[in-house]
Amino acid sequence: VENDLDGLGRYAGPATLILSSLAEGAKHGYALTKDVEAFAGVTLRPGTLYAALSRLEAQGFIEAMEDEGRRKPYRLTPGGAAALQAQLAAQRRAAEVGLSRLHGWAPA
Amino acid sequence: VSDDRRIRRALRCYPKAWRDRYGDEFAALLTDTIEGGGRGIRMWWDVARGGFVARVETTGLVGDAAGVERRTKVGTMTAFCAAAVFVVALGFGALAARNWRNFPLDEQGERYGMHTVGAGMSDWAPWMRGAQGIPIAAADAVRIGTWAICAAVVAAFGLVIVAWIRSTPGGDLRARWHRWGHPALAVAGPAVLFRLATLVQHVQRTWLYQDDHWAHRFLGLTWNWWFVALFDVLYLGALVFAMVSLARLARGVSLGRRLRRVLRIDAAATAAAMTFTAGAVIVWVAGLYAQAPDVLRDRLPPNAPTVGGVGGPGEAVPGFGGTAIGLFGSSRVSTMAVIGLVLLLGLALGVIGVRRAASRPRHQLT
Repeated sequence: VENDLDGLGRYAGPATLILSSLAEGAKHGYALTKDVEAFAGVTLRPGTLYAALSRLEAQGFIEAMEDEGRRKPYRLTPGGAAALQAQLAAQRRAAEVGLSRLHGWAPA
Repeated sequence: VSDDRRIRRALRCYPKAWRDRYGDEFAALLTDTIEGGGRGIRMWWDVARGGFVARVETTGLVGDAAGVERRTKVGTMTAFCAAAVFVVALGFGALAARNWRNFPLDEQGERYGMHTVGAGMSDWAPWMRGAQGIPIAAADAVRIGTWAICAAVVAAFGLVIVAWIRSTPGGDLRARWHRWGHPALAVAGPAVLFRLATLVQHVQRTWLYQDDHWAHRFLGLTWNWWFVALFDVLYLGALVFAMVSLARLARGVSLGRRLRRVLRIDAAATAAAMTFTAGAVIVWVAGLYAQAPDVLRDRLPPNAPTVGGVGGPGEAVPGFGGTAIGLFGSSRVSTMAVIGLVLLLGLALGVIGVRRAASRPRHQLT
């Protein structure tokens, strides 16, 4: 089943992590990378982060807030929340199937 | 080199529009990352790669960063440029083949195969004979070791296909089938059907009724299948596709939204395909004319040799010159006039496609 984030191609993975981070509250770039590193163990490097951010903003999934000095925080939009919900639900279904099958698996 | 200077250099990897929007905050992120100990070759590589991708996307060739109008324009222009490269490469191939009539047949199995094809099609529709030019040029290019020419042709043709898909509004190589499969199917479908019909004719003439070496027959059949299929797709497919697109354009705005999107795709794809075909015809005719000024007559000169059952005094001319003449008459002027009309029609369709695409908000096209 396709959802909106699949249209981001290779940036769908980083986008999921970014939206998950923003679901907690607005963050700027560096705070995003540290948060994602903390909860997912994934390091989003600057080029990848902003490639994903610019796509998410163009799709209307996030929006920029007032500047904080040179930093600009981003927050989740209702459309972004819906896209994240669909993406995570799909991932959960896949994970549940995989785990249940793994549960009954035994070495041959 | 100080970090500030490195950051400024890194920002130059990105296009100006991107820098205007994200430059300050991106520089702040780089500063924070460096201060947090995240500096390293992988970080700078990631930044440079991101800048490159952003620049390519800004041109409109890939991604969704550019608007539909720019993507369509850039994609179409790329198709034009790629087609130009392609036909120039074919022109070199034609030059490499300029002595093809002089080679002894017994020592040139591949040429003999080519003319087995020619014998099979010599009485068929005049424009079908034009397809002989492609395998003849290809065989000679391979024979004299001009692999660079072959590689250029293949690479340029691949670029044409990619640019063609990209030139369609919402076109994306990774997109779902329905976004680009429609024009592809509409072009390939008639070509495949026609190829099946001509295959029967070919087998009848070259396989069953000619006393020839089996290897020559097989070679001829194989070359025929692969190379003439290409000709069919670009030539017959584009013509049929143009008529379908014109019919749809004539129906106006009463079509549903989905059909209107399909129509825009048709127009852009048809413009690219027709322009490419017309360009190929022009260059091919020019190449043949450079070899032998008599080629733009519909008959070979009296001293022309007979090759593999084809050619000789009074026989029809193979190649695109013969194609164009067979289709549009024996006059050079009328041939060029028709080719010019085809070009104009292709450009008109392209303009219509761009305008219609531009009149729609971006989110309705994807």
